[in-house]
Amino acid sequence: MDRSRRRVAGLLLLPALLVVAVVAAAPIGLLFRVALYPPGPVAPLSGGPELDSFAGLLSAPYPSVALRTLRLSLLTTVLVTLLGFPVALFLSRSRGLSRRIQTLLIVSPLLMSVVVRAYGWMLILGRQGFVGETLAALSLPRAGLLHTEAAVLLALTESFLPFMILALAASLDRIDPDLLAAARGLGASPARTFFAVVAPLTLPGFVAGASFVLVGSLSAYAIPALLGGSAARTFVMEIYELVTISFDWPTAAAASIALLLFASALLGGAALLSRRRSARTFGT
Amino acid sequence: MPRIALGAAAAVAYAVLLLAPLAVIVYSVSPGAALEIPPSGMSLRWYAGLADQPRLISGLFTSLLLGAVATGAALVTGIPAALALTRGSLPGREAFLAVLLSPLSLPGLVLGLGVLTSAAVLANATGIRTAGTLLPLVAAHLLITIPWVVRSVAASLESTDPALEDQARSLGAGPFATLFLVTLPSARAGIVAGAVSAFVISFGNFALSLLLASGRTVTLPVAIYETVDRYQDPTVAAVSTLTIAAAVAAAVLTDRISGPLRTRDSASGSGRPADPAALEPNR
Repeated sequence: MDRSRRRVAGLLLLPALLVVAVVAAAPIGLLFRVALYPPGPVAPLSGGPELDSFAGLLSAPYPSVALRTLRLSLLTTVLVTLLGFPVALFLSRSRGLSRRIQTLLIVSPLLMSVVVRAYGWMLILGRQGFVGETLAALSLPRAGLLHTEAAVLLALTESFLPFMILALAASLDRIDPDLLAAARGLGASPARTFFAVVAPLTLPGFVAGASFVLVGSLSAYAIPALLGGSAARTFVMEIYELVTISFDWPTAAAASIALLLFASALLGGAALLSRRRSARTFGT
Repeated sequence: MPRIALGAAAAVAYAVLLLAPLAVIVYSVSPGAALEIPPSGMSLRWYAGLADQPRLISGLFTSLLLGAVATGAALVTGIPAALALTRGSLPGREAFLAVLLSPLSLPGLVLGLGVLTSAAVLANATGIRTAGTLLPLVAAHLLITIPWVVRSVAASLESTDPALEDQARSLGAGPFATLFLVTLPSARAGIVAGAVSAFVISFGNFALSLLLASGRTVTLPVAIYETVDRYQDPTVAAVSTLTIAAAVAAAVLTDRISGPLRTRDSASGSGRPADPAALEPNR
């Protein structure tokens, strides 16, 4: 009975697993292979296998672009955490209609296309946009933030804020209210309760949220392309131009693989961290 | 922290989240092509002007078609997978779930490049040309919509009582009758919510579609991207406003069918924090 049940379950799982194998695993494997051809706009691809296209990533402009991308992603994660934590606390203490409306406010942006939201920020930040026109209407010198790293940072923060709020709120919701009452009953001040009880118990949510925001902002394309442009080139923008402008597929594939490996290492590290941490906290 | 301070921080955050969509909506009803502060009036001419924008209209229909096909395929593959994960007593089901959800944490543009390369290799090896058809886009969108269906349906199945199915069986219902008359109807809310999310995710996706869309297969987000990158045109704001309205409608709909949008339950119900990747729409 159990055996045949498992066989049926395996069969039911098969189509979905096949999709992952054919549309994700195989293409990524293929990118590995393409990365081993000699770099340059060559067609059809031939020669190799060699690691020249990976070695090419160590020369300009890639290291400085990678550093800028990493810096933007780290700053985004910090900003999203600083802004998201109080919101998550507020959300987790809200009940009923207020909670439903807040959840709607947090989730709705996630359902809008990132291009539409980036477009909104272009309209706000441009010299001819809301900021520029308002300055002009006040007879101040016209200025705009468009095509700066600050614009990219602002839009990235906005686009990842909902994820961090939801991740932190999920952790906060799990905290047993009796635990807080106990801390207070034992004489801990609100601040001490927060740092000794609430903050450590929110750590799993923070690690999940932060790793997601970090990897997500490393991989973002629409926001840096539309709001930063040539003033804030990111690693993914380089990949796009390698494909569409330089036709250098081996280097594009090598850069893709490098990004994938880096992102996987971050996610794997985060998973390991939260497992060890929860083992220590709960003694399991 | 006092509640007032938390409320103020929340108000700032919610205002930031509302700013960008609001800017698009305001610009879409501006009387002229230039943005005016303060606005000199309101006009719906850009909505009427949509009829003269073949790229945006064709993008809209492509995205609607692509979303419908991807959602249908995601339901057909995702519902059985959710059944297997919740009712199949499979060993290593956490690992299977992780594999099915993994595409959500892959960079969309990189995935698109991989699919594009695969399509080229397929064309070289077998002569089957998929370039210019919807097929690569459907495959790619299927990959990122399945996780939504699986999570939503699995969460729904997990909250229903399997004893109900045992009772149906003991009353003489066959496995298929039980499946279609008991199991699936009881997971209806999860199926509808999964379908809505899948459609919304496909409809709004940009990074994954960018390298795969060309000519007639350009999706609406890609068409919007190409247009805003070049010139100022409130028609783009008009079509964007329509998608914003649709997104809000989808959020309200999901909230109504599955209760307050879940922030704590994960499909596995394992007591871990909700995986934020599962809420990831469309980078």
